[in-house]
Amino acid sequence: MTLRQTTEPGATTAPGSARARLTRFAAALSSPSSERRWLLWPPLAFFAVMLGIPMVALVVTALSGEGNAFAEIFQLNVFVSALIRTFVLALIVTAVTVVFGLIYSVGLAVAPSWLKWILLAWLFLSLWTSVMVRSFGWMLIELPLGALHWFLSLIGLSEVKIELYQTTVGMYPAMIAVMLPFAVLPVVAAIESLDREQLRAAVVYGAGPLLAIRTVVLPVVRPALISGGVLVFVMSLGFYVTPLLLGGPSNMTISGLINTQLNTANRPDLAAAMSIVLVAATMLIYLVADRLFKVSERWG
Amino acid sequence: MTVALDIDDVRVTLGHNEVLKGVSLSVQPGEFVTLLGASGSGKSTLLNVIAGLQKIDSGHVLFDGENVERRSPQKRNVGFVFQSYALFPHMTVGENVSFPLLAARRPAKERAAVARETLELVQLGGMADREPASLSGGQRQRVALARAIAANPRVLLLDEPMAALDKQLREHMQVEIKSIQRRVGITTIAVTHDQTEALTMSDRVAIMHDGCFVQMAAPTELYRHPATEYVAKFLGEANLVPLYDGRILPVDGEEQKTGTAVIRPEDLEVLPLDAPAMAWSFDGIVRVVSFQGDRFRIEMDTSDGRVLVCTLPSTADVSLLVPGLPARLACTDPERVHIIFPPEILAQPLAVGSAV
Repeated sequence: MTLRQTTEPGATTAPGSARARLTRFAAALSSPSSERRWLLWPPLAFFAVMLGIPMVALVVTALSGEGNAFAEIFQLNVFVSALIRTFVLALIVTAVTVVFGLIYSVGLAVAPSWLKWILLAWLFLSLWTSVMVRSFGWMLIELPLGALHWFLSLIGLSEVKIELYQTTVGMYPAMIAVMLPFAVLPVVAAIESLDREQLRAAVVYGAGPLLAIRTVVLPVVRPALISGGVLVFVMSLGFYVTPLLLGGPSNMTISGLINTQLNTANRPDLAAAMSIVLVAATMLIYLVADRLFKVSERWG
Repeated sequence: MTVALDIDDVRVTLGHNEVLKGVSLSVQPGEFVTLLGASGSGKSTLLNVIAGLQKIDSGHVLFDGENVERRSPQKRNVGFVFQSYALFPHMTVGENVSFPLLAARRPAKERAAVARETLELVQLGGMADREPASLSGGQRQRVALARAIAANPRVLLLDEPMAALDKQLREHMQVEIKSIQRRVGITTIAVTHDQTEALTMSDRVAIMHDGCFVQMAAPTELYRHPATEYVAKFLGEANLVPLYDGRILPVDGEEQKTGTAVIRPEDLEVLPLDAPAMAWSFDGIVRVVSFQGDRFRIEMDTSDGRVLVCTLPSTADVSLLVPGLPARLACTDPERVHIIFPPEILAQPLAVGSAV
C-alpha cells in the first residue's frame, strides 16, 4: 500500500487519531504540491537521530549475544517478576494518581483565587523539581530515623516503628507525588473549559447534581482523565530512580533490572532485549489506548 | 400550564453593587414582555431571578399568585433559552430537547415522542438524531427553543436569544419565535439590548436603566409617548427640543425649562423657506443629506446650536436641501409632538405600568 492510497477519502481512521495524523504527515511529505514540506525534515531528522539510531543499536546489541537474548530473558524468573511488578506498580500508581488528580483538580476549580495560586504553584514547583531531588526528599522522610519519625516523636509517638524505607508501600507516595502534575493539568484544563451556561441549563431543566455531572461535567472531564491516566501509566512503566532509592533491590523494576544487566551482570544483549520488550509493550499499550480513547486527539 | 407572573419589589445586590433596586412587574398569562436596556441595567439579573438562578435580597416572585422565590431552579419549571443556547454537545438533538423530561424521570418512549413533537413545532422535524454540532446557528437556536418549551414550562425566559445570529436570520427568527410563542400561549420574558427585537416580538416592553424600570408599555405607546428623555433616545432616534414656558426658544435666560418636546425624525418634513412660520418649525443650515436606500436622512444645524435629524421617504424630493444652505424643517401635525414634563411637574414621576 502506498502512502497516497491511505489518504483517499473513505479511509476509516478518525481525523484526529494518531494514525490519521501520521498519514497526513506522510502525505504532506510525499505530496509534490506541498511547498512547505521541508519544514517536516527537521523533526524527522531529529527522530531518526534521537530515536531511530538508538533503537537500531538496541536491536543489534540484543542480537549480538551468544544465544537468543529474547528467549533467555523470558526464562529468567527475575525478569518476568520484574515485568509483572512494573506493570502492577504502574497500574496502581496510575489509578491512585488519577483519583488524587481529579480531587486536586476539582479543588483547584472551586478554590478561592489565592488558594488556587498556591495549589498551582505547588504543582508546578513539583513539576520543575528533578525527580532525583524529590525522591531523595521522600527518602529522607521515610528513613527509619527520618522526618516522619521525627514528626511522630514530636507528637509523642516515638515508639512507632516506621517500616517504609525499601518496601513496596514506601515507593507509592513518592511515585504518586512525582506523577500527580501529569494527571492534574489536563483535568484542570478540561474543568476550566466547562461551559457554565450548560451547567445552568441543566439546573434550570430540573437536573439534580448527579445528572448535571453526568451530562455536563463528565463528558468534558472523562477524556482528560483518560489521557492523563495513559500518560501517567506509560511514564510509570519507565520508573527508575524512585523505585531504586525507595524500593531497594527486592523491589526492582524493569528499568532497574536493565541497569543491573548492563552494569553488574555485564550482559548488554539481555539488557537490550529487555529494553525492546519494554518499549514494545509501552507502544502496544499506547496504541490500544489511542484506539479506545482517542488519546492523541487530546494531546494534539 | 402557563401562568401570570408577578415580580414584587425585588432587590438584588452583587458585591457592593445594587443590581436591582426594587423592581415590580406584572405579566398576564400568555403575555410576551421584553426587558430592554443597556448592559448593566439589571435585565439579565432579573431573568435569573425569575429562573431561580439568582438569589434575591428581598421581594417576591409569584407564579399565579404563588410565592416561588424560595424554590430551587429545578422545581420552578421554567423554560430558558440561553444566549449561547447551552445545548449539550454530546447528546443528540432529540435528547437535548427531551432533557427536561429526562430530569423528571419520564419514560424513554414519552421522551422520544415529546422530542419529535416539539421539534416538529420548531420546524426541525426529522432532526432528532443529529448532533448539535452539525446544525447551523439558526437550527441550534430552534433546538434551544424546543428544549425550553418541551416540558410545558410555566414561564419561558429568553436571554438575548438572537445575539449569536446574523442580521437577516435574526429578523426571521424574531417573527418565528413570536409566532411559536403565540401558538403555545406561554408567558414569556425576553431580555435584549436590541430595540428592534424588543419592538417586534413583545406585547409590552419594559425599559430598564440602572436597576429600575423606567417605563413599561406596548411598543407603539413606548415609541410614541416615551416617559423620559432616556426612553426617547434609547428607543429609535429622537429630536429632543427643550421647552421654556411652553415655547421652543428661551426668550431670555430667566425662563424655566418646562419640558422637552420629542419629535421623531420621520415626523419632520421640509417646508419652503418662504412658507408662513408655524409652531413646530425650525430654521437652520443643512449639514448632511444621505441616501440610505429606503429613506433619506438629513441633519440640520439649527440657529440655536442643536442638530435636528429628519428622515424622508426615498421617493421624496430633496432638491430643496443642499448642504451648507438654509432650510426649514417642520412637524406639521402637532399631535405627533410628544412632550415630556420634568419629574417635578408630574405627580407620578414614572409611567410604570402605564396602560397597555
